[in-house]
Amino acid sequence: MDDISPLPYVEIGKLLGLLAYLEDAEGKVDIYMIPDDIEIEADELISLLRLAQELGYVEVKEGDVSITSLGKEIVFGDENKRKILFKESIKKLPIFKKIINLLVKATDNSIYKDDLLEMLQEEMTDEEAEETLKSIIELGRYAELIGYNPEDKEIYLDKLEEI
Amino acid sequence: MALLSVKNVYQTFPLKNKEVVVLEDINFDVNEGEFVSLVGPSGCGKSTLLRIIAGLLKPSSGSVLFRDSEINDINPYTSMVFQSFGLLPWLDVTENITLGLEAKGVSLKERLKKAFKYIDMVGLEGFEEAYPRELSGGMKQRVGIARALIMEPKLLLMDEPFSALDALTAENLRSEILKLWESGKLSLKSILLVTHNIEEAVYMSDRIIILSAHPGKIIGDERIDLPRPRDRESKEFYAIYDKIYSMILGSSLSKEVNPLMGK
Repeated sequence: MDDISPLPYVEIGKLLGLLAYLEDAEGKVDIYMIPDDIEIEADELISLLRLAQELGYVEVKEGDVSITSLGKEIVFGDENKRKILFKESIKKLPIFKKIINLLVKATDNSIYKDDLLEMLQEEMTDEEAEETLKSIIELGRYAELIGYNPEDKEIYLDKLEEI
Repeated sequence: MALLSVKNVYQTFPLKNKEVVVLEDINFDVNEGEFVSLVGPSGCGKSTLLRIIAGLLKPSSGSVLFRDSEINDINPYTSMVFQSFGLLPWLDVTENITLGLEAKGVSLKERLKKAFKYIDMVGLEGFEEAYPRELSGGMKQRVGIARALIMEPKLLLMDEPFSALDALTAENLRSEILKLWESGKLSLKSILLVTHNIEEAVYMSDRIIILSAHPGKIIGDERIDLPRPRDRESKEFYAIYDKIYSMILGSSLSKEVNPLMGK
């Protein structure tokens, strides 16, 4: 696996909450105002904004954050619509592309969590690899793209026919 | 006919060698189709009142009626969402959600069918086999909500359901609950939310019942007719918020003697 950058751990509920907050703020928000406004640590805010930006939900320009039309669609969509849009967005991220590719080729379309962790560790520090894996499971589960069975410790393609 | 009627409810607890009045002469109705919040400072007995309505606690005097019939045991028409989620760590999401149905003797096939419906409704698809330790607070509370909804109550009781969550997660979950409530997909008739967060109550409810503390007494009952989704920045929103805030503050400051502290 190459060209993979670490993914910060992002809780899906916080990402959705951030979009709702930006939509509510009607337009641009000064990035430095956000931590106080919503009681969030700057580190975590940066992780959230980075992912939201990569997914095309927000634009960051000269210290201002604004929500895109795709971001608004997520905010106003019902739970199923949100998941469909979110699935389409994360499928485009390089790290998810690689993992889907890996799972499509794997026996039973599943791999052991520890094997995936080992692969990630070749590309990044151990700590980053663990965080990335945790995020892949959180976001992949929400999108119903990647499943994880904690009993067998296996990561698998959730709905192969829809990939 | 009201869905729920609380009539002359008093709750007292013994403390050392005297009685402390926690709730004093509580009277109100919840009608079908209403989203009602109970707000008040800590010590106003709002969570105690919710437990009395659920039938988990018997009031010292007074009664709770559901569609005019008195409730003397666990209230079968209600289910509760807790602040601390109340999930069993050794059960996965699906098992936690279906626990109540299992206790009622519902068959596995039927349990899974219903679980599928409510897991879908609260956005937990993909997390079915996760254990609580793998879930963020927001996801845990979705499990708590699905577990309450699967019992198909007429009245959903929510006890500070967003208080243990961070601001962003709470905001998202509030708007999701409102979307569900307005979608008409739920079989429930009404929601009763207990919160200390006035803004949350004004944002979500059709009506707010305001309690004072020591003892808990109803000091106001305000209807909110603002259209949803509500704009917190609007003058109208602020006016209602300010009015309720003043009522609570006023009732707290006018207390000269706090019965818990003695005379």
